[in-house]
Amino acid sequence: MSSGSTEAAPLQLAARHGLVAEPRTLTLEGDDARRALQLARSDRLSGLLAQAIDAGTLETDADTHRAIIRTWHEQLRAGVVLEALIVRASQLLTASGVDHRLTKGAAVAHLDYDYPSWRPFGDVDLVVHPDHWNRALAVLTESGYRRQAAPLPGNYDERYGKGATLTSPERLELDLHRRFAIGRFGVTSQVANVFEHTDVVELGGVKVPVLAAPDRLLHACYHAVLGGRPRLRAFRDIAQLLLVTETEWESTFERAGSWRADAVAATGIVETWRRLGLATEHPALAHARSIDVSRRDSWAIRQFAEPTSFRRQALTTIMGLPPGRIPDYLATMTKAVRRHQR
Amino acid sequence: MKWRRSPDVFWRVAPGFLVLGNLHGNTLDVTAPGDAVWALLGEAIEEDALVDQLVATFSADPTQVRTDVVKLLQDLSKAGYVQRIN
Repeated sequence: MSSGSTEAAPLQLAARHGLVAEPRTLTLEGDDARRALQLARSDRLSGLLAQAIDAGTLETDADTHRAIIRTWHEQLRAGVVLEALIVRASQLLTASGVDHRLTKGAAVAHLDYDYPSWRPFGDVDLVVHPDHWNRALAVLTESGYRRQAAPLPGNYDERYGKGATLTSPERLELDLHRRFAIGRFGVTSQVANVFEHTDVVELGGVKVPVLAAPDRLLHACYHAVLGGRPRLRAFRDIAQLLLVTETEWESTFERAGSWRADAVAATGIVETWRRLGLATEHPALAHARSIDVSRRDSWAIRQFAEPTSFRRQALTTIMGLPPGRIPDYLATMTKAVRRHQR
Repeated sequence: MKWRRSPDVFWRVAPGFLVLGNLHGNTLDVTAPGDAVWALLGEAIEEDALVDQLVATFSADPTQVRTDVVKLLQDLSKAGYVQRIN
């Protein structure tokens, strides 16, 4: 994964805004300005770009500045609408006894960033307790939510899958996570573990359960390493959790170790420092560097570095299964791949 | 008379920008200095104190500030985003 390219210096500077003192002002112009607008929209880097310009560590022309601010405001509006969705979905699940945790964008925006506005998000992510997976889907579909894709055959989603994306009655996106990833590092995880602890965020006067900080960090690493073509924001979340929240990263590695996913946590942290151009030393970075990622795990990770085929990523699952389960998995996967290709 | 934010409101602020939302997913953009008013409504605050603080912050005409603030609070109250505490 370390072969992935880094962004231009002004974009790195924006992505690490507020984490470290910047010794000089950089200028955002030409291709970098166009890329910044792209990242403001697709990577939701708008808040950090705007803050860096406001702080004077990044300079740009008035048109680019205006476009960044306009994008930021649109994303903040969307965030307010999504937070109402979080509350409605969480209340539905809670009323039906479905244990769940808010994670990723909305969770880190509120609990890890200095201001939630710095970290816009475009969908809602909830981790569902494995024992409550089917009930969660039933409760939500009975309330008008629709799965974007039909379940894969052979009960693939529940046995090996990452989860399901639902569309709310208002056509908003809700990602239900059964695991943090498919493949080698998904099948060895025990997602029930992350329900042992909880943080809480209050949205619209309602308390919503959130993954505890060490598990938010682990999920951020899974997303950055296995989420397919990761961009700056994914790495900023990891840096934010380590440098600002001061997450108890030892617990993250403990969990990762018990899931045989040390390589994911280590790669996520090492890549964060490289992608953001951070020079700060940190014990989590030193620990991540000390982890010897095996060639097999490196190979598995490389299958996720780009959004390659579902088949290639799903095939990495066999590396995490006991030999006796592999024939059954291959039969199930073959059916799932056929459906996925339709 | 005191005012405060309604407990069930969702919001985001940025310099010169405030967006409010409710549980049904409706949103309302509030122009500046609505963001400054919102910041002062974090705790219940007397209307007079609210006006005084805004006058001091913006060095503005007290009569005009009072007119604008009362109008804003009434609009936000109608939409359910703030509450009046007698």
